[in-house]
Amino acid sequence: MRFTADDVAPMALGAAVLGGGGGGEPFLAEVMLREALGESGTIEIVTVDQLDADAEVAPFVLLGSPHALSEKLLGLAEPSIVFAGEPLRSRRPSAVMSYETAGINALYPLAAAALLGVPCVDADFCGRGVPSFDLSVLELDDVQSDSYLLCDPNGRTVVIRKWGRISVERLVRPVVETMGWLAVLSTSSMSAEFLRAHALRGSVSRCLELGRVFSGLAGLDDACAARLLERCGSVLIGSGVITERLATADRLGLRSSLSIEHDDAAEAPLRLEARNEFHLAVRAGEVLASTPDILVVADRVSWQPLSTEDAAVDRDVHVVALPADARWRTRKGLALTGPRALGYGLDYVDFSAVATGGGVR
Amino acid sequence: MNTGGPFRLGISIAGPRFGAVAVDDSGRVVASEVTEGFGGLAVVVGSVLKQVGAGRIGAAMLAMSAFADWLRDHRTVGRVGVLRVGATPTTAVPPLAGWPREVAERVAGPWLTTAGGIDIDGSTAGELDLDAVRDFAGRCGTAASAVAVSGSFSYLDNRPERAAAAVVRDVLGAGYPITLSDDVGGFGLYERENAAILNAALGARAQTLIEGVRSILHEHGVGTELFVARNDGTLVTAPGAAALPIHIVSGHLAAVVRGHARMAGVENAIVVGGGGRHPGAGVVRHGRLVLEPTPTLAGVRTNQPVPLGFMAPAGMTEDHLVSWLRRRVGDLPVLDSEAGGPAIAAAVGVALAPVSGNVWSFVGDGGDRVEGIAEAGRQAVDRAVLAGADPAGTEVRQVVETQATYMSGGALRLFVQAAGRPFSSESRVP
Repeated sequence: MRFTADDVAPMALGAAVLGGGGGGEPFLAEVMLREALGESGTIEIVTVDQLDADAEVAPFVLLGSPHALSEKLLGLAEPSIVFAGEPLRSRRPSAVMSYETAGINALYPLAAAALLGVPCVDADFCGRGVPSFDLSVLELDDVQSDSYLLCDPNGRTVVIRKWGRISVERLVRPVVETMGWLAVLSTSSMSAEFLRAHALRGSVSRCLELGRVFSGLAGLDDACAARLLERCGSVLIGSGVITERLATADRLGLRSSLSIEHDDAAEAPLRLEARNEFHLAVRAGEVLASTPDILVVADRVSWQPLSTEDAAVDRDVHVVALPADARWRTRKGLALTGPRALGYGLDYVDFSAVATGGGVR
Repeated sequence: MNTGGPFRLGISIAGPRFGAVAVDDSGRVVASEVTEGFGGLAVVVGSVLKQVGAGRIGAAMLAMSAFADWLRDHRTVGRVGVLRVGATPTTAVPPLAGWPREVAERVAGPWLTTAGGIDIDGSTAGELDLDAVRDFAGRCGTAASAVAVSGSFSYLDNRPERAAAAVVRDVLGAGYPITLSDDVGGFGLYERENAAILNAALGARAQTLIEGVRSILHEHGVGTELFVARNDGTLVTAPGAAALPIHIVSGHLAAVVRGHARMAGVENAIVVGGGGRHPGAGVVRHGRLVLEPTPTLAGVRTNQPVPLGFMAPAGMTEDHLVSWLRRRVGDLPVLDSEAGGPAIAAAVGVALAPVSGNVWSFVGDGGDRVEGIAEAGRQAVDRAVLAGADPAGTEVRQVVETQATYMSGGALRLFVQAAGRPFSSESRVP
């Protein structure tokens, strides 16, 4: 598959959907990607099965805070520094891939691929927006890399090597903070064999497809939109106006509760629980959807997904649930990313089981 | 002739339509006039002053839609040189990246990105490349009519922007028009820089237009302070407006909506009939104008809040505009300002508006939230007073705190607005 300038808009929209309210707004990486592609540039997208046996792949992820990003934007130097990965790699990798195909991190590796003139692998390790570096299928399979390279916007780099099991998130986060809350990270190169065994496949394709679905929703009435969403395994949980937003903090950090009043006043309000992403949808005491499934809060008119920051009082919104990758819905997967792991005192609820026959509620 | 006063003179200019009112302190309209066509401003001002007397005017307030029309119609504006002082390369998203081609082609002058900006902790990264800035300024002398200077984290420290602007002035002279992104304000280097570029592009027109209004007022014997409606309907003095036209692009619509809701005595409504060249509509809820925080202006993403409805897709009819707004804000009653006349509504809205000052700030990891809010509040009051508010009674009216995501330590973004009544030369009135 060839990724062209025409794919940028649906990719960015799909990235916002997969962010589930987090992942960082794709916009700046979208601009960077357009600049890198120009009018006629293309990026070769390769599946893990198409990789040569001796291929080496460099995963890319931007770490930090959207607040820092909003003032520092993105640099041209980081991709080549991280790709060369001086002390980390014995030879130049043949492709890049996205670590987390969600939010800005779905677009950034593509922009890097366009700048470097190398292919991007159609895979990732998260499949959705995640709040911590440790919430990946590599952690699930206990195959986290031992070596990491971080590069800040001034081109300063830090290498981290670990031995044994230790939280990479806890190792990396203070470095990102010291670097001014924004850094590009890569790991030691990954082999084709490793990726075939562990990576989530088809992430770029899925992101593009979701973007195309969501761009087709604007202008449809709610029932049509719901039917279209159901065809890609998703459910429109409800639509209405955000009437209340409460913020608290606990040992896991910031937490917000949103109340969404349904158009039909007889219907109980929908409650959303969020941290950096939306994690729970609850109505009248019943959990309708929960992490690790993806909860999207989208603008009522444009269907543009909103970040947890943008979901403010008075916004008129739709709430949609999308299934997370099957590997997140296993017992082991839920132990890592289920509601309890993210600080909520309840178990995972599969929205497709709850909403059966419900459609628009 | 009416007696009493002092009165406020409210003026509306929207396309070919002009309106003027005199209102008393309680908000009662004591005189009004509307007209259309060339020379209309002198007509409406003359008529109202004839009714109340020029000497009884304590302050004059202006709402105009010219800048909105220019942004929408993509009319000729000045060419702008862009100087970015980034703490970091920021190079993958250069100035004017992501702009619609037809706008960029008309506005873009030379641009330069240099080091020496501020980082998130307040530190400076690298140094301003003085030779490069001088060279850039030299190119702007022939290829641009104004310069926009943007700096990363300018709301933490604007000295790098000021230092860069000083170098440009060194080359191009003290009178050369320069917009600093910190004066434009707001979060996000890209959005703030875009707003600064649009501001610089509109600058010369703003100067001419506002001077024109002032001279007509002078001719009619009104020598009081002139205020202009800002994007949210609050006021700023005329020199402040002329320097920062990006702050007044939606001022007319804001004044129409506020004025009409006030005249109708409603706190919740969708008000249609913007009064400019394009259909306009806005929303008041709980007595406040509902704003769109990061609007796209002239196809360019910015951070200057404008009334919801200002950015309605081009070519939308009024009916569609209402249903579009209803889907955003729910089923509010609709007020049609055409009934009372948008010119009168705008003139009343602007005449009765407060003067405001805005501050954006950030409380980082380990910072003191209470002290941060207090400091931003003091700055906001200072800015409101500089914008023409009466120091007596000017106070903080709004504090918006937003928790920054993916940052531990409770990092907070703050927006603080202070407002007060316009400082007017009421001592002039016997």
